[in-house]
Amino acid sequence: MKKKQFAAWMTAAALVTGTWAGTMGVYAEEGEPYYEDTVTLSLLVDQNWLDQYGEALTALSDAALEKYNIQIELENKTNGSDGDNLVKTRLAAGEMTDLLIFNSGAQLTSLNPAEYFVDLTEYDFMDRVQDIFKEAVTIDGKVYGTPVSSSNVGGIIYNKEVYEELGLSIPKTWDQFLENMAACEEAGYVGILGTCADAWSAQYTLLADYYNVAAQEPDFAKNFEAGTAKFATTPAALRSWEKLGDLSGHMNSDYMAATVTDGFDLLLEENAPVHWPMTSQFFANMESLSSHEDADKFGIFPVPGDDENDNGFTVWMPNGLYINKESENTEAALTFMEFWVSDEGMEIFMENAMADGPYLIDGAELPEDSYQGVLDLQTYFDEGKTCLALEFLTALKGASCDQICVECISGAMTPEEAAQVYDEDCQKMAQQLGLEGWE
Amino acid sequence: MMKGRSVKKQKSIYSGWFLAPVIIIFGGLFLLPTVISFFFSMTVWDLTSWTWAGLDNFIQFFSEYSLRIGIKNTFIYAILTCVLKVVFGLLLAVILTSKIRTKNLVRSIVFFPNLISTVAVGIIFSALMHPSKGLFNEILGLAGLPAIDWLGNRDIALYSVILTDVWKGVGVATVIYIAGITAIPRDYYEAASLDGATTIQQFFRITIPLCRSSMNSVIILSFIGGMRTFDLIWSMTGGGPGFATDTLASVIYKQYAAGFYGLSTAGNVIMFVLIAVIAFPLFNYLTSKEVEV
Repeated sequence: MKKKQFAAWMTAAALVTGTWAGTMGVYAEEGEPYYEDTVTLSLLVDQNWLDQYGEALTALSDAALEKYNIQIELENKTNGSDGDNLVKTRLAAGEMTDLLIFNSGAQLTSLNPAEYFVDLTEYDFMDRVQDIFKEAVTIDGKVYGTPVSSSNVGGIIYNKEVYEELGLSIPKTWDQFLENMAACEEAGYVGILGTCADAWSAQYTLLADYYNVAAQEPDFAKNFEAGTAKFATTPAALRSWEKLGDLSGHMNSDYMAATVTDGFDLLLEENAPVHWPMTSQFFANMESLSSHEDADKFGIFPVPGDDENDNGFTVWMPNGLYINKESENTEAALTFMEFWVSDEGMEIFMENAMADGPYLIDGAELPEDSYQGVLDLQTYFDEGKTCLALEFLTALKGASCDQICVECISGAMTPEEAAQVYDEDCQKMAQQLGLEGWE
Repeated sequence: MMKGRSVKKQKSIYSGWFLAPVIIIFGGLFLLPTVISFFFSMTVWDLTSWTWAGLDNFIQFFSEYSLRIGIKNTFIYAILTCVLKVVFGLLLAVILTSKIRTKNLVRSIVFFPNLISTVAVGIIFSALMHPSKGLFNEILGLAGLPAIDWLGNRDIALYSVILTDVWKGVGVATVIYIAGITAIPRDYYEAASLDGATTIQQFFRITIPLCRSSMNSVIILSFIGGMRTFDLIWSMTGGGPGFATDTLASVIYKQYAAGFYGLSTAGNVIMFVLIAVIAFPLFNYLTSKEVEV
């Protein structure tokens, strides 16, 4: 009996001191909290993101340690579906880190954020985040994340030196693009780079073509989610699959086995591929694998449509930073988050990272030393020649999209078949999400 | 009468509670999850909440595009790896039980691939099989042969993975065979050679019939292993290019990764039933063919 009582008292004491230590450490200093004991926040992030922004994140966390006594402890995960899987499993098991960097848009919805993340709607610092990003992290009217880098666009990366050498100009229509590829091949280059071993990279011709789909069918996203518009039966959307089907004849011979990392090497070889459907994150990746100079040898143009007077970019929102609802340190996590989006935080970030497109925080301008290819994007943004990628307009994205794209590129499926299989793939997701109109 | 009673008396010395730990562990960690999985296979489930879906998941699973390829690939994989391991394992075991000098060293070498993690094997072989930078194609190039797109060509990729699996798994088969062959009394061979039987006759008339039980173990183990194969496929091709090397297990995993927990549980139930339906009759058939040594 005595033993039991003793144990109970000890537990109670531990609980009290625990709470006490948690709250008493904070005191106001010019309205900002400084933690007396270092608060360690764990942050789960994928390696690809770290490769590009690791330096900036380290700089931010060093500053946070000095300013708030908040230490950030990184945990790595792999990216792609294996990484998503890990996140879902850790969330379900209640073992998520305090902070998480993860996709915005459809991928975020699939995590069921209302269950796991802190609702940020009411916090003042969210006013600094641009609405276009907030839309990508809003589910059922609640906002869950802040942007962790700049926006980026999807399009066709091209080798500017080869274009100059052959006297080519940026294609305005898909047919002109095919002609350009033929011209490159005649001169001994490879028309377009395929890196299908990393299936995710095979999707960009389809996904970045959404600007053209939306130009013809402005309500496609809405009707697609409602189940009334399908890829296979909407000519403008089917066109995206047809474009995928046009590629394989112009690709490098090992396009099915080449990885994205191989791709970067291939681009710098002799008689290299001239084009590559990718996002503007290409430039930063090229710098980290090679040099800033090499990155500036390339430019990016939108996936051409069929109307030469209307060319625009499909825009991707960056990953978001989310706070685990179950964390013991939500207060410190919010402090860190607020610091990140503040002028001071963004300055530190921009000094240590390269932009892939315009930033999404008010007052954060594209730095002048950005890649030429990225600076060129600003015109499109200023003229409003942009459109959000489909995955940010609807939570509905088929889970096998990447593999179906590979099947379509390699000719194992015709564009019509691929579109149809993808529609079926989306149906499964719609049922899982419980969308209406999809029995 | 007397005998029966004494057995009964002896039994009662031990309390039935001795079984409790085993039953709790087996029931809690195996039976219960199995029963629960049958339940969740009939729901749309997101790990926190579920809605009843009846047999919809099963219908959906069978209408899955990649499954048509997946089932075919699973059988090709299981049968081919099984046959190759049975044949090569036996040949290696015969060589390694004969009187060669480096026997122990070679036995270790044959078994060694088994000690490496499957994922590591997958990564190493996909590097070796790289179409332009891989060692395999460089060797082919030196011999003046055309390069092979081992993992990129949709017609070849599955067989490349199968060969890797055999390379990794043949060691276990060999060890099982060696145990079986060394258990055969030498007298049979002596008698046979006195009667003038050639080595080949001895192999077919003595070795094979008398190591039948080891062969059956190899067949069952490698067949079930092949049916369930996942790790090697996933680390070498991820089911690609496209859907070309998808197997049952990789299809199930992808559905799990996509968050279709109910659907992927249904897939697991189907795989469980499929393996049981094939493995039990196969096992019965094989054991009926065994002879006593």
